[in-house]
Amino acid sequence: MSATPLLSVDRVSKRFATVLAVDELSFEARRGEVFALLGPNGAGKSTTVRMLAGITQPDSGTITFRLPGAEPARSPDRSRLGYLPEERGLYPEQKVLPTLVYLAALRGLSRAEARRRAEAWLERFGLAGRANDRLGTLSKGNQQKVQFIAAVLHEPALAVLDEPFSGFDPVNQDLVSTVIRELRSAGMTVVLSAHHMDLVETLADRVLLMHRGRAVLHGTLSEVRASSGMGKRLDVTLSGAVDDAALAALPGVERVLARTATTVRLALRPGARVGDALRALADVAEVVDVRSGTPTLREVYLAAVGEGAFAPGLDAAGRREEGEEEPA
Amino acid sequence: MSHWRAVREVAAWEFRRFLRVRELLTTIVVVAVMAGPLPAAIGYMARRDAESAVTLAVPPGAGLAEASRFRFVELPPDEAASALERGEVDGILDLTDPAAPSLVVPRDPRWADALAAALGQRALQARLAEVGVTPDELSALGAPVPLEVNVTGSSRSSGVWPLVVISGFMLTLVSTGTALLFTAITGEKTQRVTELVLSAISPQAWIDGKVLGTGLSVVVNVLAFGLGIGLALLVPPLVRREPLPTLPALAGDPGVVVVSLAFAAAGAALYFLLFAAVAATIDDPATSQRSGVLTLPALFVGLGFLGLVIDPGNGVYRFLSYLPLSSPSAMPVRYLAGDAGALEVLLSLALVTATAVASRRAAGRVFALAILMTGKEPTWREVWRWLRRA
Repeated sequence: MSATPLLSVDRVSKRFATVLAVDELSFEARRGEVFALLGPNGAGKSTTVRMLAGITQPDSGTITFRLPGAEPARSPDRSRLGYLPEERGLYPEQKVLPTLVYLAALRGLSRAEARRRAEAWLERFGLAGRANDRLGTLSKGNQQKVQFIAAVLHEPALAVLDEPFSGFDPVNQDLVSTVIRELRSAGMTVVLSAHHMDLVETLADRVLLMHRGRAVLHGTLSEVRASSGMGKRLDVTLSGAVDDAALAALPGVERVLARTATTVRLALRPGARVGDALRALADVAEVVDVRSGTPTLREVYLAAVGEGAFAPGLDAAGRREEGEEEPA
Repeated sequence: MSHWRAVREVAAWEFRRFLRVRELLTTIVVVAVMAGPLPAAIGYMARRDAESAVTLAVPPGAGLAEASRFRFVELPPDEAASALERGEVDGILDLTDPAAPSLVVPRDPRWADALAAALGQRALQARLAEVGVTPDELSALGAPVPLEVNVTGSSRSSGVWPLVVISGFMLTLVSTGTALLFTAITGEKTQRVTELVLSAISPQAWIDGKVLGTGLSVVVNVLAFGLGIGLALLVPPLVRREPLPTLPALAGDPGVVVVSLAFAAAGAALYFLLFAAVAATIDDPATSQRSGVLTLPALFVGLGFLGLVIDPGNGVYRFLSYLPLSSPSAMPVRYLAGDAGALEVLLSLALVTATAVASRRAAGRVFALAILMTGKEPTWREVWRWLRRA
C-alpha cells in the first residue's frame, strides 16, 4: 500500500429535496488499500459511493482522482473505475458470458480479452458451467457473483463496491473477502461500503464511520479505536446483579457497553489496567468468568453515535464478534 | 474510451439483443402465410358468397324474371310466410307498390344493395321500353367523354400502392422501433441495470447507441416483413407457373426510393431519440399515465396516409410535408405525386435532419436525468426545465 492518495474527497455535500444525505464529507483513499465506508442504512454511504462512481454529482465540494499514470482529474477515465451498485440488476434474458463481455467492452477491453478474463473469473466463482445460461435462471447469489465480476473484470485502478457482501451466504462472503484481498495485493484500490462491520473489520486497511451524512471516526482500525476513547473491553460474568452506578464507578471504566442480569460488558479507558477494575469489581460481586478483548468496530461505532448495544460477545444476528479472546 | 466506440458497443449489443434468428424466420413464415393464402381464402369466401343464389317469394303474377343471383318464386302470402319460416326462401318481396317495393327477411341481408340494383335496372328497362329507347342506345348516351391526361410535372405514379408502401414502411419502422425502445428502456429501469452501464459510459453514448442499434434491428425486422410479403406474392404464381406480378411503379424509380429512405432514416432518428427520452421518464410501465404519449410518433407517421384521401398538393398537406414530425412520411408522398420538386425535398430533409441533430442533445439530457429516477416520474415542468438547461 502506498501513502499516495488515489482519491481525495474534500468537503462534499449532497442534498435530496429536504434530506441532507452527505454533509461536508472529507476523506482520502490511498493506492492499493481497502477503504471502507461504514454505517447503518441512511448514513450516506451509498450516496457517497454513487458520487465516486460518477452516477451523481456533489452539490458542493470536490472529488479528485489521482489514478496512476494520469493527471489529477475530477472526471477520470471511466475505464479505470469499477463499480458495483447497491441497486443491482442485469439483463435476465441475456446469457452470462456475453453480458460480462459487453460490460467489460464498455470499460474499454477488447472483446477477446474480455472473454478470456470473464471465463477465468467465472471459473474462480464456480460458475464456469453456467457461462451460457441466461442470467434470469441464476440464483440471486450467483447473479451477485456475476455483478461482482463485472465490477472488477477490467482490472480497474479503483473499484467502488457498494455493499459487496449483501446477498451472499457466509461461505461466499468469505470468498468475496478473499478476492478483495487478492485485488488489493495486485495493486487495486478498493473503496467499499458496508454495514457488515465484522466482515469489514478483518478486511479494511482504513475505515470511515458515517452517521447521518457526516464522518464520525476515520482512520486505521487502531486509530479509530484510539480516537473513540475506548481501551480494553471486559466481558464479566457475575453470580448476582450489580447496579449500573457501581459498575460506572469502577476504576478505569469508560462506560458500560451492555449488560444482562448476570453479565456485563465494560469498556475501559485507554491505558486503564484490567486488574484494577477486576479487583474493585470483586469487592461488590462474585466474579464467575472474565474475558478481555478490544472493542469491536461495531461497539466503537455505537459508542460514537450514542446508541445502544447488543448482548456481550454477540452481534445483532447472534454471531460471535471479532476481537474476542478466550476466557482468562 | 471514446464516445463513438461506446456508441458502437451499445449499438452492437442492442442489435443482437433484439435480433433473434428464430423469431425472424417465424416472422417471414407468418407474414408469408398471412399475406398470401389468407387473403386468397377470404377473397374466395367473399366471391362464393357473392355468387350464391338468393330465392325470394313474390306475389302471384308478379312476372319477375331471374336477375343476376336472384330467383323469384310466386307464392300466395300465407304460403310465402310458411316458406320463409321453413327456410325455403330467403325473403318475401312485397311489390304492392312497384315504385317502392319492400322486403321481409329473417336477418339483415348482405345482398340488399344488389337486389335494389337489380330491381332498379328492371324498372329502368321498363321505363326505357315505354319511351322506346333500347339499352344499347342508353349506354351510348351515358358513355363518358374520353379524356387524355398529359402531366407536365414530374408525377411518378398515380397509383395508390406506392403511397401505401411508403406510408406503411414508415409506420412499420416507427411502430416496431418505438416498441423495442420502450421495452428496452423501461426494462432496464425496472431491472436496475442503469447504474451499471452509466458508471461505464456517458448517458449520451448510451442513448445514441440504443437508437442506432434498435434502428438497425428494426430495419432487419422490416426487411423480414417485406420478404414475407414478397414470398406471398411470388410463390403462388411460381407454383402455378403463372406470370409473376409486376412490381409497383415505386420500386422502379430510384428517386422515390432514395427520397423515401433518406426521410425514413432522418425521421426514425428523430422519433427514436424523442421516444427514448420520454420512455426514460416512465417509472413503472404498467401504471404510468405517460405511456399514451408514446403513441404519438405513430400518429404523426400516420399523417402520411392522408395523401391517400386528400390531394397531396393541399395546403395543409404541404405544411405537414415541412413539419419535421410529419414530413418523413408526407414529403415522400408529395414527391411521388409530382407535387414537390428537388429543392422542396432537400429543404424538408434538411429541416428534419437538423431537428434530429438538435434533439439528440436535448434527448440525451432528459435521458441522463430521467433514467436514474426511480420511485417517481419527473413532471413535464421538470422535463421542460432540463430541456432548457440542455
